[in-house]
Amino acid sequence: MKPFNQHQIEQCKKGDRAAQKHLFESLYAPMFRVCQRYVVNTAEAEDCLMRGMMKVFQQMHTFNYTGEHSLFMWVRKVMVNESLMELRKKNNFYLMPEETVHELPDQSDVLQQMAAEDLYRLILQLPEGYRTVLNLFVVEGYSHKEIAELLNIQESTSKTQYMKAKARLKDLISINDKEMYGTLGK
Amino acid sequence: MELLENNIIQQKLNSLDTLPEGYAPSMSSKFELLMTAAPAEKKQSKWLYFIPAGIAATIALLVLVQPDTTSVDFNTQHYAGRLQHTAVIAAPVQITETPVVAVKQIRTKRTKQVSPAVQLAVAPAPVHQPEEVVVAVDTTTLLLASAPVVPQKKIRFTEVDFDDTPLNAPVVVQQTTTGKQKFSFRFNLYSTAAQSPGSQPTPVQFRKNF
Repeated sequence: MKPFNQHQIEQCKKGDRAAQKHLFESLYAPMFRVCQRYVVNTAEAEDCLMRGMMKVFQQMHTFNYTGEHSLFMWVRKVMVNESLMELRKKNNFYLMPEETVHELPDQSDVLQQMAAEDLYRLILQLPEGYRTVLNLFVVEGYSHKEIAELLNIQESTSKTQYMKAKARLKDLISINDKEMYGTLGK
Repeated sequence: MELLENNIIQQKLNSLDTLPEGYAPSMSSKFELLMTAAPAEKKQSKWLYFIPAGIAATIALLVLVQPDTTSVDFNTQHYAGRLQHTAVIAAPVQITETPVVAVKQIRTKRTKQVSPAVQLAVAPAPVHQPEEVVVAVDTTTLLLASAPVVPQKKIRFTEVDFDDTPLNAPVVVQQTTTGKQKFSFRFNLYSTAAQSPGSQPTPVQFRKNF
């Protein structure tokens, strides 16, 4: 998380071009990652990022500083909303049909040793519905009730999609681990 | 275990603060693009502000401007004329024909009357003559009540005395027989055909279509 002090934010609110540019360059990479976790496609993620940044600068006067990470969290929320809007606009947000979820062994050790970039790449391989629910629940920290409201689905659907996403991710991790080290997990 | 896994996933994904490999955009150009796009959005928002404001002002003008008094006079005259016309129509009816014909006349005239609610709501006090209208309706009712009650039958023919002089305004009577054959006759119409110099004009033109 990028820390920003109150002085920097006040300068941005006043329209200081240098302060705005510094903010933009500092937030570009992490926010691009956030957008790409939802929309995957690089060009679409870039579009989401630019639209989100425009909203951030236009609505900067409404932001209340509560800590050095508060701006980062606020901008990330804007980016998530933009990404969800992009998914709705494309109208290709769909949930995977019901299928049996088989239990997989705990893979926390494998996850711990795994590179962040590899995990990121595996998450991008998940189906859209799985990926969206997993991102919202695990990374953004939304509850299933909030996810259901955001995506206009049932709360139980959010839970099942999350369980299936985890199962699919574990499958992918196992396959990745096998390819990397020639073993099937621990 | 699940919570631990989720925490690891969250930490690893949030730790990514660099761009992916192979993607290296020009930050300066992106920032300039953003700054040039922002004023365009502001211009658009100005128009979006003026259009609803114009619509609101138009609605306010339409609501607040008082209606012209001349138009009220015109409407009053219009309804006053209708009331006078109604009074003439609602004059007491003399039943000279058969009761069936008289009832038809009364029904036809009553449909032309202006309803009392419209008279009270629209007509001005000096012009409005509700008493006459009410009396006319009562007279009609009384006349109807005093008319001899004849059992309703299917009328197959109507007797017409050609020597009688017509007492009422021209009345068109149509009667449909059971065989769906129509005939009609009109009182008080003189024949337009060429007549001999010494002859009297026929007061009744009788047309039948059997």
